Amino acid sequence: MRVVGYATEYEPSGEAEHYRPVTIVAETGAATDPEFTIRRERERVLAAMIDRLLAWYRDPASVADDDVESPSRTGIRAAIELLRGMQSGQPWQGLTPRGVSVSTGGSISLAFRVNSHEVDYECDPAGNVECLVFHQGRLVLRRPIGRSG
Amino acid sequence: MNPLDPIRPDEFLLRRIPQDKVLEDGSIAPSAFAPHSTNDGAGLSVFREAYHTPEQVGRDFRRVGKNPVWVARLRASGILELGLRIDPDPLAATRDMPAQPGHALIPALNSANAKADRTHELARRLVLVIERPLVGPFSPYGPPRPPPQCGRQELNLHGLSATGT
Repeated sequence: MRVVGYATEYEPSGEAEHYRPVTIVAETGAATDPEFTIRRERERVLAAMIDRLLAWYRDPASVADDDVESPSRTGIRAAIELLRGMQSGQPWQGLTPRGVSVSTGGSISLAFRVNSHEVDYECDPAGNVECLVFHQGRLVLRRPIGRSG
Repeated sequence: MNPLDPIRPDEFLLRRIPQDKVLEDGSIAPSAFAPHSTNDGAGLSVFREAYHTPEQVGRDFRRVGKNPVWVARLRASGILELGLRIDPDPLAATRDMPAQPGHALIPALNSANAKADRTHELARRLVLVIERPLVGPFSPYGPPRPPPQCGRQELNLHGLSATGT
C-alpha cells in the first residue's frame, strides 16, 4: 500500500453552521480497483494469523484448555512458513484466508476459502502438512503436501 | 424432569468454544467440534441448557486453561438432523467439580475417529447449527462469586469474633 496524500474536508454535523473535519486518506488504486480492497484484507488476515501463531510459538502451553491440546513449536513453525509463503507466492493468490485454530492433538488448522470451496491446511505436531478441501460440507480432497517447519 | 430423560429435539445444548476457535474473520472454526485426542473417548461433551447456565459451562466446569471461552447454543434438532445421537450422561460431583446433571455426549465424535473424514465433515456442519450470537466471553478468573452459605468466610468471621472478645 502506498499512501499518496491526506486531505481534510468538512461535512455537516447536523447544525447549519457547524462542520466537523474528516480526514481523507488517498491510497493508490483504492477508489478504482476492487481487487485492491480484497488484496489488502487478505494481507491483513494473513498478518493476523501469523501474529497469533507467533504468540503461540512463544508460549505453546498458553493455548491449552479442557478441549484444546497444546500445539508443538514444530507444528507452529510449519504453519508460519506456509503462511509466509502465501504472503508472497503468486500461486496462493486465489485463497482467501479466514483464520487459524488448534485442532485435535495440537495440530494447527489454517482455514481458507476459494470460490465455493473451503480449504484447510493441517500442520501436525511433527510438521507434516495435509490439505483438506470441502465443498458444501463434504470432504472432496484430502492430500498430504509434505513437511515443513 | 430426569437427567436421564432422552434429549428432545426442541432442547438447546451448550458447548464451550475456546477463544482460539474464533477465526480472524469472526467465524467459528470447525475444530470447535474436533474431539480431543484422549479426553473424548466416549464422545464429544455438550450440556443441556435445561440444567445449566452458560456461565456454569463457560466458567465453573473448566479444569484447564486461562484464556477466555465463549459458549455456543445449539438446537438439538440441528444435531439430530445430521444423523447424530445425543446421549444424556449426567456426571456426579467430584472433589474439584460440581455435579453436571445436564452433561451429554455425542458418541459419533470421539477420540478414536477424531481424524476421520466423516468427523471433519460433521464438525464443519455443526458450526452451522450454532445459534448466534455466542454467549460470553467467560474468563476462568471471572467476577467474584457470592460466598457459599456455610463456607470458609463465615467460619473465619466467627473465629475473628471469638478472638476479639
